[in-house]
Amino acid sequence: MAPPMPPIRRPSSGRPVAFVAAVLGGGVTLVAVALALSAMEPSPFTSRGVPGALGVTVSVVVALLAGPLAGIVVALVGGLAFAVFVGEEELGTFVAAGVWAIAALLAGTIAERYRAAGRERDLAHAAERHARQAAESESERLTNLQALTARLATASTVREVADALVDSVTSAFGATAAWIARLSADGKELVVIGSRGYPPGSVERSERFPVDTPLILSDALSSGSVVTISNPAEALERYPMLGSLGPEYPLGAQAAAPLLAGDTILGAVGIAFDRARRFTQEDEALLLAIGRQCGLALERARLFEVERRGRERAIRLRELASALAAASTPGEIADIASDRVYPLLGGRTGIVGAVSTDGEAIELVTEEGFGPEGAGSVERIPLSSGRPEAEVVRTDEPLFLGSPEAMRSRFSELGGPPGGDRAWAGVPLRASGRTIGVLSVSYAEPQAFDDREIAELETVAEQLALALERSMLQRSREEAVRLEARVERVKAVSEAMNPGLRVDEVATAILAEAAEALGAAAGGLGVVTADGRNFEFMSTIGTVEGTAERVPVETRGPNTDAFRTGRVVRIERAEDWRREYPKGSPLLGEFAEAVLGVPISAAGRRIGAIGLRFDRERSFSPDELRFMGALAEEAGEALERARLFEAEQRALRRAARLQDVTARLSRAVTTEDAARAILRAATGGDGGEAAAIALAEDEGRSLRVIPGQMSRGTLRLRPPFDLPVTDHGALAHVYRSGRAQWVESEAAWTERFAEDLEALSVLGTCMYAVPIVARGQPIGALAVFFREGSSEPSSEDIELMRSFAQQAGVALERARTYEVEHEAAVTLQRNLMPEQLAPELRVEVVGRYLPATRGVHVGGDWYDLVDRPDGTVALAVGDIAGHGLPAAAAMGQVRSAWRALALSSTDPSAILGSLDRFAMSVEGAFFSTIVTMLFDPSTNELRYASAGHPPAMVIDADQTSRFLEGGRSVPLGLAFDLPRPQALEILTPGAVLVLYTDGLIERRDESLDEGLRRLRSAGMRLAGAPLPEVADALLDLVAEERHDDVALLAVGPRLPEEVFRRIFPADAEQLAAMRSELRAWLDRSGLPPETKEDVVLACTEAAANAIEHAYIGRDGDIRVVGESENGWLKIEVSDDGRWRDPRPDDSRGRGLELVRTLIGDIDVERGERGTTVRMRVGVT
Amino acid sequence: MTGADLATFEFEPRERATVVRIRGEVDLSNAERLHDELSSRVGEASWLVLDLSGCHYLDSAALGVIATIHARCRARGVQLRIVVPTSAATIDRVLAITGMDGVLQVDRSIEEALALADAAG
Repeated sequence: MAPPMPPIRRPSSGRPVAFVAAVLGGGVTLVAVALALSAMEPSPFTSRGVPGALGVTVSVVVALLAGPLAGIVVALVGGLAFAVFVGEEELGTFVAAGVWAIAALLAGTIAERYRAAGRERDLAHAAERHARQAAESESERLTNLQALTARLATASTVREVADALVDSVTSAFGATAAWIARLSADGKELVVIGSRGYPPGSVERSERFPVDTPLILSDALSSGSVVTISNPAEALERYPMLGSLGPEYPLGAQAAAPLLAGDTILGAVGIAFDRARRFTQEDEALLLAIGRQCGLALERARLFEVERRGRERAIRLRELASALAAASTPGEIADIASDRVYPLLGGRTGIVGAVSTDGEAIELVTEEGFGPEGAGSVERIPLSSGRPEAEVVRTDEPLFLGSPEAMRSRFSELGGPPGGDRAWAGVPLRASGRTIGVLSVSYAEPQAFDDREIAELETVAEQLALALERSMLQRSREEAVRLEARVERVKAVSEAMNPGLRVDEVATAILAEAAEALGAAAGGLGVVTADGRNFEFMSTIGTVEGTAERVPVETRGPNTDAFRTGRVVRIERAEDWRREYPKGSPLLGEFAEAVLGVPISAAGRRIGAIGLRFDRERSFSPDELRFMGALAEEAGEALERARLFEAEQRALRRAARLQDVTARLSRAVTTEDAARAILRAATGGDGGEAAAIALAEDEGRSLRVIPGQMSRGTLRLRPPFDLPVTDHGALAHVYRSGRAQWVESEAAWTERFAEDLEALSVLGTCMYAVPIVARGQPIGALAVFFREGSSEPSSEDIELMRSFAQQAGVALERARTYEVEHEAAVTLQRNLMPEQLAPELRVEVVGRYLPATRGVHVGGDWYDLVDRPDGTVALAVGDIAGHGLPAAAAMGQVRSAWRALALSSTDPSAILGSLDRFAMSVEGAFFSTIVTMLFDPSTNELRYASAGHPPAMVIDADQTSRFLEGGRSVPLGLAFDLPRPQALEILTPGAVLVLYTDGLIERRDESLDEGLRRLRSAGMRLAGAPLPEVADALLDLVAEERHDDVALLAVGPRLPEEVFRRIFPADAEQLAAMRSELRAWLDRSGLPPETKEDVVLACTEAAANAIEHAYIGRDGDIRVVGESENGWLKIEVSDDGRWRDPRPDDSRGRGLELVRTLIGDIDVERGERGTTVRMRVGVT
Repeated sequence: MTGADLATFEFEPRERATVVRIRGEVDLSNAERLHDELSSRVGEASWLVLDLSGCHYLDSAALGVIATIHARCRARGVQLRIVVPTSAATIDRVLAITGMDGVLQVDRSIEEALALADAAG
């Protein structure tokens, strides 16, 4: 740089003053000469001296002012004019003119000379001035350069350099705007590093342009020298894009120079003016000089920055190292990576991945830990994948991809760099001699990856690897500890488990533990069923409702497969799941990312499996697998314990049920009782939902089926039906074959027993049926119905059912025997009954018979009466020694004999005598007792004789009662021709006579006298009561549980005709008789025939109601009482039963409505003790 | 008397109709028997004629049976006719009271019922 020049003094200009002085001097001189000349007479001027002086003066002045030529012309013209006009055409005048001209010539020439000299002087002055100005401008530039240099010297960053430059260059050139751009590292782009004066948005820092963009900077770069453009038109022509930069953009002269550091072009600087301008060589030189200065400064700043960054980096690397050294969890590592590692390495983002425990994938290290959680789209990178991270781990070599092209060329299948990354680097993380992970960094800029960068990456990787290894160790240690703790907990739980827990409760606890420990989304614990054919899920988590509860063990699925093979089913990827289980599994469904199935064994036997489904792909660590193994072991033990406990409980319940049914059956008297007991035992609790019992009838030609259904703890019998024994159904088959049958489903049923389905399907379609055998003979079958889909009953359950069937066999056989005998007894009873209802009988008689409740004591006691032609009535009550059918048979014979004798003989004593002999010849009649009487209603005379029989009782109308103690002798067959005494008694009017057998008064724990006392006092209380009431009340004295049967005959005076009183068993068969008697009575009532029939219908309906609803399942009486009173006919139909509301579909409901319609005046009173229907019709 | 002889049910198959003659009394004791006998005959012919000419007593149980048979006939497309002579005022009355006279097709004589059956083909 040139040294500063000394200031140049500017020369002052004296030109106009000198000129005026010269003219004035010349003029004065001329005037003086002229005056002097004129003073010389007769000089040419003497005569005309003044005009001559004037002429000379004018000429000289003109010559002075306008040049010599003009002076001469003026002198000549003046001289001529003077000569002409003055008229002194004398030579002197012409000479004078010549003198003037010469003077003008002289003066003009002198003036001209003088003027030329002045011009020259001016020129010299101008040159001097110019030189001075140039020197000044150069000095300014130098000053600018100096200032720039000074600023650049203090600029330590590229940015400061750039700012200094644009400031300097605008002021140096008086430019409107300036900008500076550096060449990118790859030399392909210009990056704006500073600008000034441009409108916002047109030239901004960091803007990039490809180097071939038509811009003046590009030209400066490519030419390596200054480029200038003087006017807007040219600028627009060369750089058309300038036209689009808006009105603010300084679109005028432009200039640019390269930034040079030595021979290296680092970038370019440009200036712009808002007007046209010429650029001098100096301008260009200055711009170039500035460019050079800046280039050097930039280079220096860059180097300085590099150095500083290096220093900072070193510091940050040290910090990073210490941070990593302190990191022990994946979360910390992830934090450090994202906060420090990637920025430090100049990357945009990156990945730290750990090789998974199974060594097959890279799991991302995230803030949440290892593996997929929380990370972005890539959570787990299989090592087999085409991703660069996988390759780095596979090859164990760093991989540097410095540009998008490099990235694309290596990993084209990834579709180029993601997220606009322009460079990528991956370094394996090695620790303890093996690759445990990978660090990858993505860059926003292409990278050169020089040695320093690579070294840095490797240093960071080393530190990361150490931290990662530590955290992985920590993780596995923690996991091990965690799982160990869980195993301990499960053990504790399992040990603490109430031994009373059910299998499903144990299963639920174990499954919850497993699912929680491994983070499963769904799962199930299943055990094999007792028959080994099915797999039953005891507990499920997260599965869709309605998934299979039970599947055949052959079904494909993680649970069943683990169970069958005894090996762990381990699926860690969705694609493996799809391959292994293309149809999914019945429990876990169609889709799964990862699945684990672990078999459960107990006592060396596989009993089930746990299956877990995960909603993301994952691997299972050895620790997790160990945990599951331990859990499965615990599960096995706990489940087995629960199973055994359940089995024990079931056994206890079975025993209880068996006991219960035994007890019930022992009380069962009738087939229905027995069937009910069996059906109840077979259903409810552990039993079936319904059951049916089939009994062979009609000598094995048909089966009577009694179905029963459990409904909310109550057994409801359904209507029985009959099947021919040849029926194709299951029950008939079981009965015929004597073999049990298991029918598991409707399909099996239809296939095997099509024709039975209809009748029994109401009960269910899953059935186990066993034959019922009594004394080695099949007598029926018992079928138990289970919920559809139940498994075959266990051997214990089958055994239980067989026990039921066996018990049932015995009980049913007994009940049948009882029923046969009971029926026989009932038949015998019925044979005794008809005459008591004969309307023409002159006394009212009520007979009662109660069979013994214990054992089959039937047929021993009897009563009978004969309406004799002479108007008397013969009565008898007897008791055949012995019990059962032989006794009944004997009784029949004795009774027949008595009837014959009673018709022919009027003498009770004689009757007994004849019976004595008869009894000797009839087996079973020996030692029978009998009381026989003959009553004459017209005289109230009663003759009687008793053969060892308890005394008859008389209840008098005055409320006294007594026994007829007379006419007593020994039982039949013992008299040996001894006389049989008899007695005579006249009954008081209204007295009631009661004959009975010892069953009425005998009780086990008291004497006979007490029984007699009780009977007598009861009789007193009953004085005046209607006969049936008397009979029933007396029977009430008898204990519910009786070992003996009871016969009772009550005889009273026939009531007046005004009253109709009929009592009959609640049996539909009795209705017709009642109707005919009622009609007979009504015939005398005076009712019109229509009304009569209405009353009959109404009474029948009311009675039928009682039969159907009041006495269900038990015997009872219906009373119809009618009386005529004050022009009204009142009829009462009553029963002692408990009313049950008729079902809506019942015709009886209609019946009662019918009664209401027929008889307007009707009242129905329902009470605990029975129902009474009262009707009233007017007799007109 | 028992249910067995309380009423008799005679069946007389005709060309187009099954005629059932019910004689005697029908009540709870023999209604079920009537039901069993009748239900097995429904559908034998396209007409079923219940001749109640000889019946002098009919209770609600019997009506229930007739109603059931009536429903079954309808289901099978069988025409049920009930013959109740004018003399059987009681039965008429029962039918009227229960409103069944509006449901059942009642004829006054067996000839009338059969003529209808023949005419209907």
